[in-house]
Amino acid sequence: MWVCTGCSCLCDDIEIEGDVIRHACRIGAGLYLNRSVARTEPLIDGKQTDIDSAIERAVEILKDSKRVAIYGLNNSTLEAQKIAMKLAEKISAYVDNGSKFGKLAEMILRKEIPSTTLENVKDYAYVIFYWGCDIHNSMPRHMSRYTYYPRGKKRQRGYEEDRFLVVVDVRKSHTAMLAKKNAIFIKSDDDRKIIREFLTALEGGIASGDVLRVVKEIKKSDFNVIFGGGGLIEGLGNELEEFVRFVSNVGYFIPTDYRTNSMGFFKSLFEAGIPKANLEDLLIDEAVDTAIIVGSDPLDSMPFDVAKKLAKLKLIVIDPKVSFTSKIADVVIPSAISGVECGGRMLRSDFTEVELKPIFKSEFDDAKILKSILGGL
Amino acid sequence: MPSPMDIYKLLPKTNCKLCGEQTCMSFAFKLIKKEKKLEDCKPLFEPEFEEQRRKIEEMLKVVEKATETGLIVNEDLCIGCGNCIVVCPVHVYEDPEGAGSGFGIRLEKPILRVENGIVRVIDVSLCRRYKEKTICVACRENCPTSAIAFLEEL
Amino acid sequence: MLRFAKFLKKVELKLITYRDGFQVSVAMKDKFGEEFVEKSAIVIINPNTAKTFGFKDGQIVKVSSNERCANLRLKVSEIAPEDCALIPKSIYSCYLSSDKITIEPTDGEITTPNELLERYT
Ligand code: SF4
Ligand code: SF4
Ligand code: SF4
Repeated sequence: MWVCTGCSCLCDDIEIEGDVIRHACRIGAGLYLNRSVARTEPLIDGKQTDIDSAIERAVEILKDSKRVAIYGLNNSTLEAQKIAMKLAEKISAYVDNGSKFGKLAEMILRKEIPSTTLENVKDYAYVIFYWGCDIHNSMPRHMSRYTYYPRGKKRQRGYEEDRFLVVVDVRKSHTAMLAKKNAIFIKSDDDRKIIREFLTALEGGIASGDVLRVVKEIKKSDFNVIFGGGGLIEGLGNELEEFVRFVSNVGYFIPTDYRTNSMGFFKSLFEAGIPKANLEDLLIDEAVDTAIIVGSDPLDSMPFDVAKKLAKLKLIVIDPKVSFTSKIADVVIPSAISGVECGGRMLRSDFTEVELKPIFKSEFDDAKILKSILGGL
Repeated sequence: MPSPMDIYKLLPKTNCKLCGEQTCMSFAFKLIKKEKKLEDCKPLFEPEFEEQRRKIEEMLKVVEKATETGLIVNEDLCIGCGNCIVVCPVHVYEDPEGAGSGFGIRLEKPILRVENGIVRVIDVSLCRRYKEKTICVACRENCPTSAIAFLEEL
Repeated sequence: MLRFAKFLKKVELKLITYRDGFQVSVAMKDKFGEEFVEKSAIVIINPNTAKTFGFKDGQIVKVSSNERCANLRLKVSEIAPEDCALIPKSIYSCYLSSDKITIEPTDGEITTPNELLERYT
């Protein structure tokens, strides 16, 4: 059995037989089957070199830098993240993984908001919210593996009777299209308003028909769960207090950050006592002159105005795959695909620790590369 | 997925009855249900209809892929989420600890299995529509990208 | 009605970026391949919006926001609300990032990732 690192579901039931990979979704199967396509080579200023020279050059750049940002690490193991934190401490670097889930993740770690495991969801959850996330596209097996569709200990009668699905989104996503029998889709233009409406209804007040219907279902069970994605985080902004009250009234909250080891990143950061930085803000303020990008492609995810500023920095890219950012980097250091070519541990989206089961071996991986850089400083 | 109307539009529309059907429309229906073959429409093989015939042949390729139960998978639309596999009542019954509980299916010969990221039809003989001839649409209903279709619903 | 459609062929819509699993899987494979362009350089509008403004599924359109523009393939699907345009998250959506975008027909070719990349450096 292989553990897929295609997203933060970290599905651990994958069978591989030669060139056939079973049960992994298109994202996970592609990650494995296309592993040798578009691989990076060691580069300095776009010219081929060997990996040791590339690492040496990275060290030189770091020595000459005033302020560094370390960015990415979502595809790195907990072990590699730990070394990255040490590196950050040593050179007083900012650290960011580009995810906006930091605040809620920290609240879960501090136990300020009730959370649970996906296994418990499968066994006990009745009302299942997907709020501001199109899970079918971002974590394709989430619903079939852990939440709405599978049968669990106390949920033996299947999704049509034993679960109630609520999808809240600004648009009718593929996930929203699954809200059929015993389910509801609520179109939201203002998440905070709907949360307030829910709070009112939960306390017996007046609310819209849809909200009242869901509240009636919520009251049928003491185990309900809210999965929240990027859309929800955006909708909430900095106002988390009402949301926490809402979760406490309903049941549990589990983030749906698809980035594979994003929760691991937040935990590593939390344990190291480093505050999470926001690279986009740092770029706008022109507060950094160098960035180490680990397994991430900010040019493929940051708005143009900000990314253009990033392109002006000294860039050290550590990545197994060619990316837009690697194309413009000063130094490129090839790495291993975590879970495929190197092992270690990661945290699933619900903070459950999972041990990876690599199929291949690799001489270099994020942990080793970061260690050499740290050693060179 | 072609509808009988899509095919009808390309037929000679003369209702000549050479195919044994009363109308071109009913021939179109039977073509899709695989009860008639394209060759039964003699006029369509005249040179003047060549282009239309080619188009119909393209459309029928999809129909050809349909299994004995009428279940068709459009692989390009499948993301391999496994919803169809986990909801299938036969899978739940035969493999409660595997597919029924959300895991990858453990049956040697299931109806459907995700391979290389895409759902594949492995053995339709277990499908409820096959033996019991019951109307089951669970798999299709829970595929939000319409990667699964049934012939008779087209 | 139809005859006036061509004069209406320019529309401003709210931009929503979204994660598309098919795009993600090809992006993981190779960002400089054809499949990446096919799955990323697209803009989706609602069938009703397409009808009103005379757009056809599959045509190439010029999408502009602020002072930037790129040519993308137009798709029609109900996953887009009527007043919004959907672009899958990628360098294309990032390049065009804005609250609103304008869509109009064009005879041009689809913008390639390399063309976009040049505008960053
Ligand atoms: S859902 Fe995520 S972890 Fe599971 S197979 Fe798909 S990509 Fe891999
Ligand atoms: S029609 Fe019913 S029995 Fe047949 S494969 Fe689909 S869900 Fe299973
Ligand atoms: S056919 Fe549909 S439901 Fe089945 S795995 Fe593919 S996308 Fe999911």
